[in-house]
Amino acid sequence: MHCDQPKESLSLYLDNVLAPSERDAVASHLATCGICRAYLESMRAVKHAVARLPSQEEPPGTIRAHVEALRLDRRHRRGLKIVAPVATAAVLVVAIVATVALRRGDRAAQLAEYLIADHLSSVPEVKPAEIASNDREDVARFFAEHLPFAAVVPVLPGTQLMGARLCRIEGRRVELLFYRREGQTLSLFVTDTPVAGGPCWAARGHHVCSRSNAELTLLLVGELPAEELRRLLDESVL
Amino acid sequence: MTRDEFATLAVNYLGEVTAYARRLTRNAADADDLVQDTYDRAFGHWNELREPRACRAWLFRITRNIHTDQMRRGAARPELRLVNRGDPLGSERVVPAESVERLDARQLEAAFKGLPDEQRESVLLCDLWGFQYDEIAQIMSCPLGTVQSRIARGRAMLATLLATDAAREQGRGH
Repeated sequence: MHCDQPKESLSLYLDNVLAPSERDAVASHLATCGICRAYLESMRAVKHAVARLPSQEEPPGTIRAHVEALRLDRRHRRGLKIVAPVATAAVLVVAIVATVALRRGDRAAQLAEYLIADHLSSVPEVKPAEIASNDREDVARFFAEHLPFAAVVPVLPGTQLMGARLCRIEGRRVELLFYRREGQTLSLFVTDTPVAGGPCWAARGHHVCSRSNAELTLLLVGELPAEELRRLLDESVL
Repeated sequence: MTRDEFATLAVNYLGEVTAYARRLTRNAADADDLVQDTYDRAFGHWNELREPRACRAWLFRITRNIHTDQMRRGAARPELRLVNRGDPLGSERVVPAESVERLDARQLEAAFKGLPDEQRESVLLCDLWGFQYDEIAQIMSCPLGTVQSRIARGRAMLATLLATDAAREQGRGH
């Protein structure tokens, strides 16, 4: 069974993008050709099947945080520009201090929310780690190829390393390490960028605690009490 | 359009841009980089966008341009390309519509992997994200006729691949 009707015209007919005269010609042909009708229905079924695939995917929380920060950054600057011409110097200083403090507090709290969201959506029970290994050297080698800073894989006392994946915080690639402790998974973010706020935040039944030195900031996320997360960070060995 | 209006629109499309970036890169870490680079560039040039209704296609175009640049620079890993399997529009292999309706997402995704990159992307932009042909031509920086051809060939090849799978399944049943 064969028909010489150009098949591309059937695809264009399906999408309703033919000129009226061409459309009429294809419609007339379809009325008399079973081969092309079957072909068209097959294409229509394929089109509908593709349309049922998911068109959106949730980005990692840290990427959403970055995009939200892009949106908020200029809003604050524009607000200050409007205020500046009418404010006294004293009012302006207070406004700037208050704005910066609020923004830092907002950003830190928002970041904590996103870190917890990433923890919940990225732990190996939900999504396979990019590297599944309890060998620190293996994991460090994995990060060495991808990070803008020298990779470290800290030892957290009483926990077992499970694996890791790459992640982002405030626009920078960072480490995301997974540890297991007494049936619970902990996520440790390691970044070379200072993170405002801290030392601990709470949200959605989880805590985020941070520890910084001159080069790195560690952010530990889990369901454990904040004091326990802090203790693990304080006793961690880089 | 104000910056706030643009920002609201752009953030609304984050889920779709993420899905598109993951389709382009097929690697979560590269996709994250691509999404972030897209929004960095978009927020740096938002005032070049004339019409709010063009925002979605504009973001997709930026995503694709950055991805293409990265591929050219060799920053991202090279993707394997399929050899020419012949003209799918000439094969006339038809998968019964009812067989397609029974497909689950996994089977369809598996068939998609058999398509050349440009055809797969054109079909997705048209049938998944619902872009018009002229928008797809802008996103992919190619002539309208090329888009028409890629979509027709992509659908035809998908149907061929699905028909082959359906025949194989039927063979197993006997």
